[in-house]
Amino acid sequence: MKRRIFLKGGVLTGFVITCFKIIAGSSLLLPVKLLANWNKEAFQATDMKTANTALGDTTPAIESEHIFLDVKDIAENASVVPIKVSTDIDNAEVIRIYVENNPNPLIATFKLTQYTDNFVFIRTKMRETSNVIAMVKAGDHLYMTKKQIKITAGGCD
Amino acid sequence: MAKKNIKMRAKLKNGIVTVKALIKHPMETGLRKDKVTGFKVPAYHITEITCHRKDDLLFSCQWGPGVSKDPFLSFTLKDIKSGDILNLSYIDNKGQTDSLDVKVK
Repeated sequence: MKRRIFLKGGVLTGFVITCFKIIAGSSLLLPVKLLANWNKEAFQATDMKTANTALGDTTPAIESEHIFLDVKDIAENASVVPIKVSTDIDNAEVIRIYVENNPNPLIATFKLTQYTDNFVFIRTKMRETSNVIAMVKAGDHLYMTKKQIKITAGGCD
Repeated sequence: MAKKNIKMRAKLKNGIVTVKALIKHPMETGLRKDKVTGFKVPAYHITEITCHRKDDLLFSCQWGPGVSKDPFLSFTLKDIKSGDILNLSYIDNKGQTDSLDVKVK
């Protein structure tokens, strides 16, 4: 009789374990679609050079007229600064946005594919008056353009 | 089903689809101090956003804490037909995700 109960218990635990495995497996499936490879080192870097190195680029960016950075010269609200970036560089792969004087200068990286039309629009926070830099990676080259935005009141951490 | 945190619109004009998305998220940087307690508010922000059409990856981006609260994102796509379904999903640094399907108009 005791043996029966023992066996039953064993089967039950086995069943519970498989259930858990299925649940764990399905929850692991989600981040695969979201690539889940956030570059912590680059986003927590405190200067632009470190951020760029963490993203795998050691060569300095060349200034280019083919990147169009559309921003206002003066921002009234430092916590919402709109930034529009577009480019007509043919083989552009990545667009990056930096705010030079922020605690963590790297704001965002946008990965372009064959479907994208080289345009992004985002709103950022700024701590103080600073240069905003748009960087485009095309092949092995890095291009950039910058504009200064003045913060009139306050500032945002 | 919980209320979606994403609002999104995709509009086709002259062969180019403009996607506009508004996500509800506090986007804490981890540097701001709570005025009452004096402690720093821990970082809580979106790290990654992807846009798919079925299994095709159309657009993806990684965000740092410097993106504004309740972020607005807009981008353009080509070679997309009217009626295609675009899926936008995000993940934040606490591992929470949300996604939304939208038909191109």
